[in-house]
Amino acid sequence: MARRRGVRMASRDEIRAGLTENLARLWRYGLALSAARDTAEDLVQATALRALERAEQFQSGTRLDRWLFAILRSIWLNEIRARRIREGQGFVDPDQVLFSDGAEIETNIFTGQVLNAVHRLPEAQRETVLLVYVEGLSYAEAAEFLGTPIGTIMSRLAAARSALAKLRSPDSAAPSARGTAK
Amino acid sequence: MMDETDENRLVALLDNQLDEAARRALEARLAAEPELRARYQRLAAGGLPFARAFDAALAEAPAARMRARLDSVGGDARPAPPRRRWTAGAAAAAIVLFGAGWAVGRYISPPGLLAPMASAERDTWRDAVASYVALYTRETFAGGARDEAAALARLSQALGVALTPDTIALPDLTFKWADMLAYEGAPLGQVAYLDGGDPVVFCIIRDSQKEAPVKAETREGVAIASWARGGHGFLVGGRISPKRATELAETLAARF
Repeated sequence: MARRRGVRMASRDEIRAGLTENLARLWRYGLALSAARDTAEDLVQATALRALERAEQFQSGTRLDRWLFAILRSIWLNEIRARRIREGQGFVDPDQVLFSDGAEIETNIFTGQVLNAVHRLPEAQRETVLLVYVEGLSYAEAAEFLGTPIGTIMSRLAAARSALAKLRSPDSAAPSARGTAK
Repeated sequence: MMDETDENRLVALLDNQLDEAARRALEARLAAEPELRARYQRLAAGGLPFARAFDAALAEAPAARMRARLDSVGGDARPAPPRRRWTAGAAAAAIVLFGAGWAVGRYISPPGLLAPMASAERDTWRDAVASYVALYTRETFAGGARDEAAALARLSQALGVALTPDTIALPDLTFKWADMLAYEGAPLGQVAYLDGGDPVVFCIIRDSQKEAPVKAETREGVAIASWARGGHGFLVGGRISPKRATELAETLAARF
């Protein structure tokens, strides 16, 4: 089954294995983008279908998880988000709680608070926070993946940090960089 | 670094992304400039334990269901045929699978992986219906009809329209089933028929649709005749001629 793997192009088995391994991470990325669990799940499935369909476009030796992330992002931006915005559902309700404060996540209460705080950030900041601080991309890698200048990555992270700092200590009214990030 | 604003450089310092020279220069300024130091501390305070929190979130992913959906995609990389989805039968399954079916219809056709879709064409529930109706074949409708009256009663209740065997009957069409789906959170009822050998659906969405007379169009190769009345959207769709779709729609529009 795996005999043909590697030299010529990725086999569908390889893509399928990569998908299986990364389902939860893809879902988490979909959640960071869409701020909706159902949408995240549909994004993962759409990503899986398209990745399998386009298996021959994946170059063996490059990062499969990055490729899958890029597919998910493309589907989100070009298809699902565009439609949600047209239908007036493009805005995240900041009061909607996506994560329980501890019931489902067994670590501690703070975990849920962090996730919900990130969820309140604008989409571009949420995404950049996830890619850099969670997925561990360098600024340069994140800039390349998102097709933006490195400065944009930095300003998004600065804006996110400012907003989150404000949440932690609302009374310290330092100027916020929120809103400067695109 | 490329962007020269102080704030950006401070974040890069926090994230250990400055080169050696830039780091030293900024640290020297931090030692000398209290205001810069305050901004640094503020940005540092906004650095939460993201990785730990998001790793915990992985546990909330619906892993088993996503795995099952992935496994249901055929080994030849084509989506599972609609027939497989529908034989599951249960309404709950239908709702879950509707997402899959919607995705299947939506994603198998575009030629370019990263090419933007012709998005203006894809903005309504009619697209979603057309997307999966395009996948129906005669085999999708194999098997006997389900309990028509009971299924229609459930739809009627959810949608707030009076669907009965009489009101949904269409001359020459054979009723096959009625199911509850959802589109963007709005209940979407579907009544399926065979028109000779051709699958035809009558769909009702409970949404604040503007009143509109019957209008025919073709989406994804599927003829769609739609209208709206009383806060509901209706459509008749199938791989039939637009004229036939309009004819069926007008028959139903006289009742709904």
